[in-house]
Amino acid sequence: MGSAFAADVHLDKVYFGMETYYYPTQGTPPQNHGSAAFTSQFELQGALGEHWSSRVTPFARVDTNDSHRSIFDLREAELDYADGPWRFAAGARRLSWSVTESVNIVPHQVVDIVNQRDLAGDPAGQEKLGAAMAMASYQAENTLVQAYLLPWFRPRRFASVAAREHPFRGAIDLNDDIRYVSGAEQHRLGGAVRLEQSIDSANLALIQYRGYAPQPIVEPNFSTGKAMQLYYLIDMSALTLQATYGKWLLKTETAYFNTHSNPEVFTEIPGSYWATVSGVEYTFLRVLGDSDLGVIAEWMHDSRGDALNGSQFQNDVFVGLRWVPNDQADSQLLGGVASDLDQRATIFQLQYQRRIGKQIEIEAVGRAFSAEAANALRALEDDSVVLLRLRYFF
Amino acid sequence: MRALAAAAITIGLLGAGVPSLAGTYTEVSIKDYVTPLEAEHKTEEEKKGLDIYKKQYLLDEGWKTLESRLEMILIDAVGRESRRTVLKQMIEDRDRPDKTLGVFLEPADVRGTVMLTFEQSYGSDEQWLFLPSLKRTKKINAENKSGSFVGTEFSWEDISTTELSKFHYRYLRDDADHWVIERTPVYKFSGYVREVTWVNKDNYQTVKIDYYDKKGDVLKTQVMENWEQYEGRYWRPLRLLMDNHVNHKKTVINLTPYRVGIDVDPKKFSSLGLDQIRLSEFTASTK
Repeated sequence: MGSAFAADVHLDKVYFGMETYYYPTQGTPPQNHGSAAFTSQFELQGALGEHWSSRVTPFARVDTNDSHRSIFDLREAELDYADGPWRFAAGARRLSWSVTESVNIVPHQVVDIVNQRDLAGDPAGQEKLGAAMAMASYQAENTLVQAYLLPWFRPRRFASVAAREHPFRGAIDLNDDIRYVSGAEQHRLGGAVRLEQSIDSANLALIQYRGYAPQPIVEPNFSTGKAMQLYYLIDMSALTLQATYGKWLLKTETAYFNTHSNPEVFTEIPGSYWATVSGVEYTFLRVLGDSDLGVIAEWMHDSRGDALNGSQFQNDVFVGLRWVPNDQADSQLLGGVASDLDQRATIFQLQYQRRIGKQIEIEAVGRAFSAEAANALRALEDDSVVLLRLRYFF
Repeated sequence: MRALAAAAITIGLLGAGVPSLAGTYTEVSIKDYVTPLEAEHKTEEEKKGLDIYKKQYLLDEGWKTLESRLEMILIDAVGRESRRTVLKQMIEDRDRPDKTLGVFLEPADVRGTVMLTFEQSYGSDEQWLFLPSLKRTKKINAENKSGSFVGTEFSWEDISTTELSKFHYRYLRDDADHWVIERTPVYKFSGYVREVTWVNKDNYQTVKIDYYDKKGDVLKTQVMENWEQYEGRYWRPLRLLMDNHVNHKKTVINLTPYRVGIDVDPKKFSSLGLDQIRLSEFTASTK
């Protein structure tokens, strides 16, 4: 019995990092040329006997130039209980429901909405904040059922007016006047049920989510320089599929968002809408010696259109190339273009990552925007950026 | 005695679909599996090649579960080294693909990455990757048997378990200690046209393989060393050396002694729960 209650806690995946963003073109005052920050993260893992385990993952960023990018966040602080097919978890957690590639490259969310995004930390929208939840799951041989209670909603973190890649070029402060349709505000209880089925060559998941949409309605007031942000409720019914067919990977994440549960007084709330990211990935093995080359093509659609409170990716195509030389440094080069099919509006991104020695990981990203005057992406046209991330793992 | 043996075989056959019983692999119990293979091996040389590999297969199957820790040393053409360390658990199940779960320990930036492989004898494998920094389980290209295994000179098909039906066999010659047998991969997306293998006469284990490409040249050579026997039956090499004769890179894999028959929940070998794999579930060192 003694050993059943013995706690074994250890530190894992400790890193210190640096990030620099450099914008070569002059921004609109007070927008600056970039930022430089130090980051750190570690995992404290505890095995507490046969059934219990815990994990605490604090993350910190200290920006020397833009204090708004500085953050301390508990990415994870969870207690887990596992017994046979059952698993229960409570605390701050991160999870991923997305299966497509482009949503992991450009700032876009379709089904992966439980963890709010920190757009101040990463303008590409890939940084997830920890989300408070209680989860119960049951895993049968080829089926997984998960139920979530989401007691605490976190508003989106936007860049400060001094930061670049700002949707209003610094003219509107997006970190003030946050409202919720529910009187319970952030504490309105949300929930989700997810069912995943594993068939030999495919993983299929159905998701039903009720709670706030992670993207607020923004109503800018250009005379005051402020914006009202309103978080509204959705019932999301979603399907995700990732399947292999020979050298092809087929992927879709598609969701219908019912907005009827909102009080009628909020006229800004969109009618029900649907969105999808669907596409294919094909891998050429052993091209040019030992290298593998992957080709990604995905269509992104959102029925709200690309108006201010819609989506930039209302009818866009993402095309990407991933080059993996299979070298000692685990180098990887990914180039992608997300292009609007209705207007001229394109995001170009090139990212390269590799390891140096045993413990240093570096990532270099170049991003550029091109858009016609009528498109919201036009605000970012001067915000071409080169950024470098370096992490030293202990 | 004969009645007892027959009972054991019956249990073995009925047991299909539930975790298999160690030692139930006999000439008789694998008859249905081997008969179609035998039909394809017509000449004396082909029959002899298959026969030797059948004996190896009978010695090799029935281990149920395994765990080991692999330290892979990658050596490039100018002698620079880098290291990958993976903890591996495997589960064998009669009439189902062998399943392998691997968790990276090193390098530090990929620590905690989980790989799950369901091995298919004829078709493409099923594979998933769990990326801990993104919390994302990704299904990956199924036809990559010829692709590099995590940047090493081993490809996925080189490190997979031995399934008799994966090859067509032909005996070539003898030397003092070995039978030299040619294996031709049945899988159409294999990276090789043929393999020449050296099988030890003492214990029926393959100790060296020359891999031939389409041009008829030797692409790579693998040598297996430091043999250990488990449960008086299963032989496993604890050191694998792969030499690539084209790019002049090498990979050395050192394994810790296997733990055979570990107590592991078969449900763990599922793409649905890769985010739940904890390093503390492995008995090998996680440093």
